[in-house]
This record gives sequence, structure tokens and C-alpha cells, in this order.
Amino acid sequence: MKQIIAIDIEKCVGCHSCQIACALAHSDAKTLFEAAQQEPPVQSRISVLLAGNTPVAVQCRHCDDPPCVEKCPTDAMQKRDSDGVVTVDSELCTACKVCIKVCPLGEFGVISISRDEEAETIIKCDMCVERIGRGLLPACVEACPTGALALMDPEAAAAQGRLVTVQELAAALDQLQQIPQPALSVSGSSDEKQ
Amino acid sequence: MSKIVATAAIRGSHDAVSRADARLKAALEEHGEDQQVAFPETAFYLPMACALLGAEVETLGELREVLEYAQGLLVDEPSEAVWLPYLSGVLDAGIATLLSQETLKALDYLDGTAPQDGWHGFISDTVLRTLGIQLVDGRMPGFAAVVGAAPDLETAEYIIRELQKRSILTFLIGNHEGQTMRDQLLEAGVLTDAIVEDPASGWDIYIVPLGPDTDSIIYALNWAIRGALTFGGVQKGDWKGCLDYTRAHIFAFGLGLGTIDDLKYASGAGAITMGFPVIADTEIPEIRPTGVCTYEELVRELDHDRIVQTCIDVRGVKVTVREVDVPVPVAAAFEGEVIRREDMQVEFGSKYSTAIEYLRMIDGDEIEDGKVEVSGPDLDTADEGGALPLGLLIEVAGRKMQKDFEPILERQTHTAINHAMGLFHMGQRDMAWLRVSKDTFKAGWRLRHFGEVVIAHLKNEFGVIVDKAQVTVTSVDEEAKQLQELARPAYLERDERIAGMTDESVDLFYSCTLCQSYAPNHVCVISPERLGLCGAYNWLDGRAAYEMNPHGPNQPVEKGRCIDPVKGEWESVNQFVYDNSHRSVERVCLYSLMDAPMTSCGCFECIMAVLPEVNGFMIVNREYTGMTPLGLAFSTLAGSVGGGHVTPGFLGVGRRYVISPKFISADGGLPRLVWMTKDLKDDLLEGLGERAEKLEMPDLPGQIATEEDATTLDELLAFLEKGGHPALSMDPLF
Amino acid sequence: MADASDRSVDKAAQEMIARAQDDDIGLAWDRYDAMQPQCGFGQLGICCRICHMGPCRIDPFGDGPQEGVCGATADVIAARNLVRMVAAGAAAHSDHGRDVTHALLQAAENPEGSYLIKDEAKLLWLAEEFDIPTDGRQTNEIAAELAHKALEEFGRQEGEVIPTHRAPQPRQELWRRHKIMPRGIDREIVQIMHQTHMGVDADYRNILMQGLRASLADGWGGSMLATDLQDVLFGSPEPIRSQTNLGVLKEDYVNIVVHGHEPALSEMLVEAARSQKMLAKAEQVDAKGINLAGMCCTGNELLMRQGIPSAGSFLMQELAVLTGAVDAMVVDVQCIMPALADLSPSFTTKLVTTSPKAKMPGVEHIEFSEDEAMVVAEQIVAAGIENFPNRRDSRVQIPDHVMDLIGGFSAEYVHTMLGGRFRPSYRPLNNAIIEGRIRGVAGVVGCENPQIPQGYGHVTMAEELIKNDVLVLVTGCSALADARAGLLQPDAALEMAGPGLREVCEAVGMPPVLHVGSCVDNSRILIACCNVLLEGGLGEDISDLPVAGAAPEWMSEKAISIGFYVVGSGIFTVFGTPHPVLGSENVTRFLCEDMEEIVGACFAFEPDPIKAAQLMIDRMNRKREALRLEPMMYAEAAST
Repeated sequence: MKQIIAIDIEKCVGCHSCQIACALAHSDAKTLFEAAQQEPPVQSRISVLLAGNTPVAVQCRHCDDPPCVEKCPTDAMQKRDSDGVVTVDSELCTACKVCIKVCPLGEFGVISISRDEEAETIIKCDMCVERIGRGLLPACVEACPTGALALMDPEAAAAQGRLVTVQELAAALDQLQQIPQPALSVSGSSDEKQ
Repeated sequence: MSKIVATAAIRGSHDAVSRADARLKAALEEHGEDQQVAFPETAFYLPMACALLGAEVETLGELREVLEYAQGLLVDEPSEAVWLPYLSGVLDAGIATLLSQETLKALDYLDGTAPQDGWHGFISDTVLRTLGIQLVDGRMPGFAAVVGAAPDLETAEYIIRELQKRSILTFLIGNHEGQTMRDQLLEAGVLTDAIVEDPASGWDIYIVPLGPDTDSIIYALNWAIRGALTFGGVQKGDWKGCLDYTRAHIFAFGLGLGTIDDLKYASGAGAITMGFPVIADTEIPEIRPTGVCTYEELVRELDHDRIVQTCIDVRGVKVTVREVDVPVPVAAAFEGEVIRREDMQVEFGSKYSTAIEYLRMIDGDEIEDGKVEVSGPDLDTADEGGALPLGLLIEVAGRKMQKDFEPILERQTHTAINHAMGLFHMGQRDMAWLRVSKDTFKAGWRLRHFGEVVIAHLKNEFGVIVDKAQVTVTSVDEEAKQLQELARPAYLERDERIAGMTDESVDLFYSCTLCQSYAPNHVCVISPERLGLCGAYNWLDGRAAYEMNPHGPNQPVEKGRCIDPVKGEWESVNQFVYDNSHRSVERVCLYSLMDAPMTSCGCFECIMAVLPEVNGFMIVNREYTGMTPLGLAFSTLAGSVGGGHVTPGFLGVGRRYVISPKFISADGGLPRLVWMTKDLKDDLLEGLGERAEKLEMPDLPGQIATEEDATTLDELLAFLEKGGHPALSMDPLF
Repeated sequence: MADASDRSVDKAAQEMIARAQDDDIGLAWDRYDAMQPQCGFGQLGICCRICHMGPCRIDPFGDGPQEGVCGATADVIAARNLVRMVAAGAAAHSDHGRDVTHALLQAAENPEGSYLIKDEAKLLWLAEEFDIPTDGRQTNEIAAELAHKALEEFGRQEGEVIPTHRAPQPRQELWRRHKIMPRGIDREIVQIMHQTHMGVDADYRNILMQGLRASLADGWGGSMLATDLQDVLFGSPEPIRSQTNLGVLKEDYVNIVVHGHEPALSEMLVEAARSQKMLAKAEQVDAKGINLAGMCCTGNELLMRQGIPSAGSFLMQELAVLTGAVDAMVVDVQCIMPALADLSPSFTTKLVTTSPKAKMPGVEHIEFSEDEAMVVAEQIVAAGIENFPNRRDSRVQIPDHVMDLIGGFSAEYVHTMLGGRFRPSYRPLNNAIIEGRIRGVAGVVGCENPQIPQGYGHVTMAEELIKNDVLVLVTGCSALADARAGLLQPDAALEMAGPGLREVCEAVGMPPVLHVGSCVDNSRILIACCNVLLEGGLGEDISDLPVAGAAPEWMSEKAISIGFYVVGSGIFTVFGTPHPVLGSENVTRFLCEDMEEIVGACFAFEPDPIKAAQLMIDRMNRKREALRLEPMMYAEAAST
């Protein structure tokens, strides 16, 4: 049954807790203090971006028709039928970055290259399938102190107005980032992601 | 576990205190507050109370204060569960017990019920002086307070022999179910009836029966605590100093034989507080963690074969057991044995035969080390109770051996032979007198064994200078007489050498800093004409001691430039004293009592003191307990003279210094001596006469007063005037 | 809902936690759960809120920013945050000390007032230390001068805080060499606040060194004076029987729980509660009497000196209210949960705040002042009595769990404990260590924290240590946790201690875990170390000793300050959860490695109490080797 991680932009306060939880969930040790010492450093699969004055957490949307899967030259990326999760086969992945280029949110950091140089693979949100399998929520959802992130059916998300298509989200982010921010306009350009 | 011990000890302390309380109340009722109460022949009142509390108890009223203090130390028994720490309460209970036992015994003396018949009871200061110093300087390794009785006679004898072998002084105290160790030893024949008739005779054989009840342990312990006051220079009332001293310097332990009841536990707690561990032969709980005592506090040893060794280990007693190939034990404990005629198998010397001992150094190549050559008929040929001639030729060699050491080593024959059980030795040179007991003879003692003990003793005690030794023993009268001829020129030469030795004739004096352990700034300087103030070391001894142990307390002291020959002051001597007194004493005049006299430690045989009113000096020896014309008894004087301080006008000296030509020569010498104790005068009479002749004052000895003539200044002045004592007309001292 | 046994190892606590669950009442544990997951930036110490350019956060995993707006790195941010915790902790202890000093002054200047000087010997000893003439002077006169001089230590600007001179000479020289010898108690705290202000110190090492200096001003200054002057005023503790756990509350009595940290008021409450006047008043409301019980360190203070039972430790403050049998809970300062304000009315507990520094909205405030101490105390006791009839018996549920204990061990008393009146000495302790009966001495201290099942860390660690022949000294909540587990009973030695420690405990009659006081009394452990060194045979400096410290369940800033001064004094110390610094590799390394080179000791962070105990044991073993001590006497027996 396909579920998605839906975000309520109104509730996100930009605390980055989802990032820490995500990185932690994908660490070897699974505890913060040990994970903080891990080499190479643990990576988060979720980004907290600032759209205008509004923080927003984004991760792979697990699109219905994912361009990354379509364009992957080694077939490392697949969309699973069972739960709709877009997966990466790190054995096949060569870290060619095509997926990053074709993803509408690619430049927002939802797909990144693994810091483990030997791995030569990309990493991205895996919907915490391992946790879900154990009856837990995805780490980011669990960590969100305000309830901005939630795991729900697309229908429920739609009903709550949380469902945003990838393109819409990308465009919104894109557009918001182009707008000079009144409060933070001193330095002019704000090309860099925050 | 220790809680059982704690409970028993605390219970025992309550019992002791309440018994003392009842007795004291009755005594107060009968005699009143002001009734005098005292132990005989001590300057320390009730010694335990005096040492720990600073109390000078002379009356029942004052005794009550001590007991009230003891009552204040009592604590409750530890509770069944959730008990509070009890060790402190047990140790305090121990002290409460000792104070109570002292109270009880003092009341016994008041009533005339102590000492018990056939038991020694309280130990006097004189005994303390003579034996105590051996105890603290290590000659006597320690003392055992045996409380209770052995399970059987064999064990009793075995344990006592094991203790004697190690020269450990043994007090017999208390009983086990009515049986006393003293009676066991009597029955086993270790002790004779003499011990019952005169318990003090036990000192000679290191076995002293104190009393048949547990409370008598206080006699041993209040003897030990006086060691701190006498030899340690600790002030009365300085309980910490006293107890630190007993733990550090007096190697005593308690040996509990048979049941340990509450009172024994309580007394043991007192002993433990003094630093004396307790070892028992029954199934008692142990207290092994150390720190109150130096090592374990309470230890059980069920194996009687091991029990003495366990005691020694637990107390850390330093004992060297001499392994000598002779059929009887050899130890200092047997030194004082007297062999009576009826117990004697054979004797040598005195008026019965020729007996001579002579020691000489010869070339090492001529000595077969350890060889004992015997000639003549052996002991088994003599009639029982008869006599044989004896010649002992002892020949030694060693790289450090010197001609001067010959007489010192020769005198060791006396010690060596006396240390063997059942042997008796008196006299010296060709005036020796020896006896061998029947038992020792039966054990297999023969002529050869005289050689064995002498060689063993020389090598053990003087191994540094004696590398090789051999002995020729003869029982042929002719051979003994030949030996006499050989020895006589040597005897003559020695006499001349020692007699002729003056301070001027040597370049080196010897120091003695043995006592710095308790008088840290004390430096004794020993010259040929001024022996150590303890009387134990003369110049030759100092020199021999230095040769034997170059890093020991006896060091050569260069005289250096003479600053003042009359006062006896030398540049290098001053430097030595300054360096070795932790820079506290800058100069010393060997022959003066008034100007920079020497420091006094605490072991001095006598105290000299200036009597300005009569323009002279008095001298009082330690054994004298009476009053002096100065108005102070020896013990009071000792408190202010000792401790390594310099006190012009007061000085600790050795007895024989009085008859030295250098006797306070800076201050006028012997003619300044106006008062001395009778005991001292009698002891030195011959020498005094000789010195008086030399001074051309033949009447001088008679002009010197004793306590029989005067004990106050007025009486003294009258006596001196009547006799025309020269001091009265000498230059004023001040 | 979590099982109660995951929240506390204590049966009484579990019973009350279950009750709360049944009644749907939220407790600290529930609030902790609600807080999950907690902010990783905060936990790692890399969130900076010092200036208003921020808040700034360093991305611990390297993708995001590695510097704050001002350029502060994780090192600077973590170090600044940590030493500000030191400052707060040192401030809390030292302000407590200042209040005690005022009480002493009150006692000295007003002999007719509420306070007396109970330990004159200690007063004279302190007078000598502070160079105050005593010959021919009245006690009050001396006490007044001491109080004035002690107050000067707080405001001292130059020189050295006087009680630091109790430390062994090499330690003092080390402090001077590294410029961490504290100059004044308040001054070092102020300097931390300045040094960590935006744009001042950017050298994490320099920041942490000032943390050490301020903590030493606490341990050898504010805390030490608090302990000493409390001893002077209220008596130096000696072993005493008491009880602990919620079962000390009595159904038919007026139960008054004193909670917080300062004994000045509660000592008066003891007197008031024992007074005929108040007992008569209690009778009027049909109570059998007045039952005063402690909570947290105010409880420890009363337990140590008066044997007043303790209802519990930090996490039991709400549970005590849940019994429905507490008629008044009187709080002073520190570790008082604001949650009590809402909880207490529903269980008819009258909550009373007493310190001008610690108030709560809607809670009755009866302000305590030293000069009217007895008047205030009676007023409070009366309030408790008056509230007794409001109790709803149907709501009363007192867990039937009480544990006996022995408390009241002070560094000074150890002398007497080991030798009585005539042989007072540390020698038996030193010997026991030298001969290998006792491996070493551990101070296990600190708070409770819902992150760890209550008491699990303390009790497990203490048991592991005593099993390995380590004598354990405990204070504060750690002491109470061990007390509930029965470890403060001498019998515990027989059951659990290693053979060597057991022998010593049996000889002395003491428990293997010694309660040395409240958390401000950790200074007693420092003095005990000094006394061991003075006794001789175990080295020259505290860092030579086979000793270690631990705070297995810590949570408060005071614990950080204590940790700093303990390590700064040369004692290796294990914290259960790490300091909030792991976001900075450099700061972590400084605390856990580099400090060893500087002060001869360092921190370790180890949540597993058994592993933590092993770290402490390893440390002691290494120190024993360095001192060339005997191997452990019963090594074989212990290893089987």
C-alpha cells in the first residue's frame, strides 16, 4: 500500500531534527553519540530548505513516474511495485549523477553522493522501509517535534492539503528562492541553499 | 565476624567498669576521698591513667575522676541489624577496660590483696629501666602477655620454650577454667618453686607470672606504656604520643590460650589500641585488616606448633633464632639462669679448678674456620657435682679485626655460654666460673659445645669483624695452665692500654645517635674518658660498633683543633654535633655541666644537677625513687632533662663517668660533687677512693652526702659544713 | 505505555508510577517521552543561542554549516555551552554557601536567635585556617569574624581562595602553573559569562580551562565552605541510623516533606516539628504526630545530621505527592520541578515555596529569612497541620517500602571511625589500600535522569564496584538510590562486597557504601583524598591515588561543575550520558584525553554502569601499579 511522507509547510520550524534523525537512522550505530563520531560521517537523506522566510523539509517524493528511474543508465534505480518506493541498487550505481540532474528536486539535495568513496553510489530517501517493516514511523516523521511531517495515504494527504506534486514543489521552491527576501536581503543574492 | 568480637569486648568493658565502680564506691565509703592510693615503686602514679589522661592520681577522689572518664568511653553493643560502625567503640571500650583494671588493681594494693601470693603483680620503675631499655632498643625482641592456660602440660612447655628460644619476655596472666599457665609450667618442671617464693626471680629466665586473673594484664600494659614516658620522652597526657610509641617501639603481643571470654576480649581491645595484636588458639573471629596495630589485630592460630611463629609474624617482632649445633636451646632468655649446686652436673673454675678463656687474633691462614678441638676427659668422666679444669683458647681472624677488639670479643664468651639453656658463666679471663646443669648434661652437652656456642655467637653478632674462628677446648689441667701463661702478658698489656687511654691520646671520638629515634636532636659524644650517658657504650665499644656497622649510629668523630682543653671543646666535634643534631646544637663542651653541656636523650643512668646554694653538684641515679636535695625526684628531673635538649646545669651521665679524671673537670671536677645516692656511692666506692687519693683529698668520699645524710638543702649544707666539703670553698659557680 | 520497571528500579516508585498511569497523570517520565526524539543539536552541544544573530547550529554530519554566523566553530560553541553549565552549577553551590555564611553570621550576631553553633571544634579549626585569632575570644566573636572572612571569599578579587590551600602542595602548584587557581568564587563565574559572551574567547581550550578554574572555586570554595559552615552551625555528621523510601510517610501523622538543597530552614523545621507547641496543634486535628521527611538534598542534610528519614530522591518528588499523604511539601532551592505546582492540589498537598529565588505562580510563598527562622518554621509546620484535615483518605496510598540505612559519614569522622578516641587515623584505610584489601575508593554521585531507569545506574555501578573491592562514597541522589537498594546497610558488605573490602567493613562495622552527604558535600570526598595523602604511603598528589568518580545518572548543571572540579583535582571521572559536547571532536578529545596531560585526570562517558565501573577499576589498577602497591589480596577469589 503506497504511503507518502507528507509535509505541512505551516508547521515546519526549521529545527533540522528530521535531518539528524534521518542520518541517525542510516548510521551503523543508530545512537546519536556514536553516530556523531562515525567515519565517514553519516549522511542525512532529507534537506531543510528555506523558501523565502519559510523553512521546509524535503526528501525524495517517490514520484509516480520517476525521471531518475527512467534515465538511470545502469538500471540501478527502480520503483518498487509493492510500496512505490524508489530504490537504489548500490551494486549497480556508478554515482554518475544523472539522477540528480533529471530530478526536479535534485538540486535541493534530495539525492546526494555517498561520502563513502569506496561505495561509489548515490544515497536518497528509502522511506525507512526497514523501520516501517518493524512497525515504526520513518525517522524524520518520528523526530518532527511539530508534526509537520507525517506518513499518510495520498488521499488523506490530499484531504489535508498536504499533497504537493513534485513539480509544483520544485517550482515553488525555485520561485521562492528567486524572490529577494526582505528580512535577509542585505547580501542580495541567496543562491546558496540553506 | 568482628561484630561478635565487638559485642563481646563492649560487654566486657561494661563489666570491668561496673566492677571497678562498685569497688571504688566501697573504698570511698570506707576510706574517704583523701585516702592515698598508689602502686609501689613508681614515679608514674597509676601509669595508664597518667600516660593517657595526664592524671596524677594519688587519692581515691582523684581515682574516681579516672573511672568517670572510663565510664564516658563506654558505648552500647552493636545492634542486631543496621549496626553503626563499632570499631571505634571497641577500641574506646578497650581503654575503658584498662583504666578500670588499673583502678581495681590499685584498690587491691590499697587493701593489701595485691600482689597475689606467688604472683609478681605491679612492675616497678627499676625493672622498667633495666629491662625496658632492652625492649625498646631491640636487644629483647619483645614481650608476650600469655593470658589463660595451655590445653596440656606439653603444649605449655613447648610454647614457653619457643618464646624463650627467641628471647621473648613472657608474662603469665589469668587462667583458663581455673588452670593457670604458671602452674602448668611448675608441673612440667619448667619453673621451680622458686618462682612461687619469689616471682621476681622470673625476670632472669624471662618468665614472669603477673597474676592469676585477667585483670592482671594491666601490670604488663601499664609497664609498657611507661616505656613511652621513660624512653620515648613523651609527655604524660599525650595519649597519641604514648600510643604511637608503644605501637612503634614495644614489640608486645597478647597470646590468648583457651576460651576468650568477654573480659579477655575487652582487655585485648585495650592491648590492640596500644598497638599490640592478640593471637588466640581457639576458634575466634579474626580482625585482619591492619592499621590500628602495625599488622593484623586479632588472629587465630589453632596449631600450637605454629602459634609462637604466628605471634611473631603478626607483631612483626624481629627475632633471629640462632641455629647452633648444641643439644639445648640458645637464647638471651636463658642468660639469667642460676644453676644451684643440687642441679649442677659439673663445674669449672672458681676455687674448684683452673678455668681460663683467652681470645687472640692470629693470621687467617692458621685458622680452620669453625673447628673445635677438644683435648682431655669429657664431662661424662667427671663425678656428678664434681669439677673439671677448663681452658678455652679462641682464635679469630678477619680483615677488620684489630688487636683492640680482642678483649671485647673475649668478653662475649660470657654471653655466648650463658645463652645456652642450663649453662652458667661468671667472671672472665682466668677467673672464670662455669656450671653445667644435670638436664643439659643429660641432653648431651659436652666440652665441644663450649666451642660451638662461642664460635656461633662471634660469627652471628660480630660477623663483620670475625671472618674465621676456631676454638681449642681442654680439660687437662696442665694445658689450661699453659694457656694461662700464654694469656697473662696479653691481659697485662690490655689493662695498660685501656687504663692508659686518655682523651688526649686519641684523635677520634665516637658518636652515638642510637636514641635519635625518640630524641631527634640528641648526639652523644663518647671519648675514652667519658662513656656514653646510658652507661652501655664506652669508647672501645663505639669503635668496635663502628667497625662492625660503618653506617650505624656510632660514627667516628674527628676532634680537630682544640678550642678549649679545660672545657673539652674541639672544632670538628662541634661541627659534627651541629650537623647531626639537625643544626640545633652549635657547640658542646665535653667536660662541663655549665657551659654547652651535651644533649641528654632519655636513657641516662644518672642525672647531675647544679645546687647553687652549696656551690656544687648532685647526682641521682635512675633507680632512686626518693627525694633529692633539689626538691625533685629523678622522674621529675628526667622529664626536663631528656628529649635531646641542652640544659646548662643539668646533664644526663653514665655512672662510671663520676670516677673519670675528666669528670666535669671544667667545673672543678669531683670536689664539686656534694650529694649522691647511697646506691651509687657504694657501687663506685673503690673508684672514688682512688680518685680522691689522686686528688690528694682522701676524705672526699666521706664528705659527699647521701640520702642518709641529707634530703633537703638545709640538711645538706649542714652536713657539708660539718664535714668540711671542699666545694664550699671553691670559686663560686655563678 | 512504558512499563513502570523501565522507569525505576525501585518498587515503591514503580507502584506510584503505575498509579499515575492508572489515573492518567503525567510525570517526568511521560514528559520525557513526549519530548522524544530530543534535539540532536542540543544533545551534541552545537546549538548556539548566545547572541541574537543566531540561533546557530553546526551540522554534525558535515553537509550543512560548520560555523555559526560569527564564525564560531563547533569547538567554540560546545566549549562555551559547557562552561556556562559549569558557571550555573558553581553559582548554585556557591550561592548556597553564601546563604549558609549568612546564617552563621546570624547565629554569631544574635545569640538569642534561632541558630546555635553546634561544632565549636570545627569553628576553631576554620578560624585557624582563616587566620582568625581565637585566644580569649568568645565563640560568637570568632564565628562572626569567620562569617565575614568567608563572605570575602565569594567577593575576593585577587589572590587565592583560601580553602584551596587544603589541597596537596603539588596540586596547588599545578593549578598555579596552569593559571587555574581560583582567585575568587564569584569572580570566576563572572569571568565565564564574559569569556563566553559573543565575540570574546574563540579558543576552546582557553574556555575550558576557565571552566576548570570556576569549578575549583566551587569545589574548593563555595561548596566546601557550604559544607564546613553547615557543620559548624548544625553539627558535623556522625554515623546515624535512618530510613528511606516513600514508606517513611505515615498515614496517621501530619507528613511534611522538605525538598530542595539547603538545611538552614529545614533544621528549624525539625525543631519546630518536635516542639510541644506544634505537637499539641497536631493533636487538635487528630494526627498522631508530625512526621518530617526529606526529599533530595535538603533531605540528605537532615538525614546526615538528624537521622530524619528521606522519602526519596529527585525523581520521587512527584511520587511523594501521589501518595496523597503529604500534607505539606516545603521547597527551598534547586531541583524542584515546576510540575509540582499543578500536581500537588489534586492530592491535597500544600506546596510552599520559601526562597526569594524560587517561587511558583499560584503557590503559597512563605519567605524564609535567617533572622526569623523559627517563626517561619512554625508557620510552615502549622500550615501542614492545618492541611491535614483536608486529606482525602480514599486517595491515600503509601507504598509499603522502607529501607534502613546508615548515613552520616564525614571526612573528619573517618579518623574516629578507624581508631576511636585514642587512635584517630586514616592509617587502616591507607593500609587496606596498600595491602590490596581495598582496590581504591570511588565517589559515585549525581542526579537522576528519566533517560535511565531511576537508580539503575547508581545501584548497578555501586554493586559492581564493591564486588571488586572498591569502597564507594556516595552523595546526593546517588546515596538515596543506593540506600533504597539496601547498600547503605553494613549487612550489605557481607552479601555483596569483595572479600578484601568485606574484611575491612567487618572490622570497622561499616557499610561498603558510605553516605557522605548532599551534593554540595562532594567537597568531603576531596578532603578525604587529602587526608589519605597526609596519612602517607599513597603518593603525593590526588592524581596519584587509586580513586575515581562517577555520575551515572547526571542531569543538572551542578553535576558538570562537580565533574570539572573533581577532574581538576586529579580524579578520573565517568559520566553516564556524555556531556553535551560530542558535536565537537576537539572538545570531546580535550575532556577525555588532553586533560589527562594537564591536570592528571580526564573524563570518560559510558552509559553502561558495569562498563563504567570497569573503567574506574582499570584506572585504580593502573594507579596501584604506578604506586607499586601489592596485588589485590584476594585477586584469585575475586576473578572466579
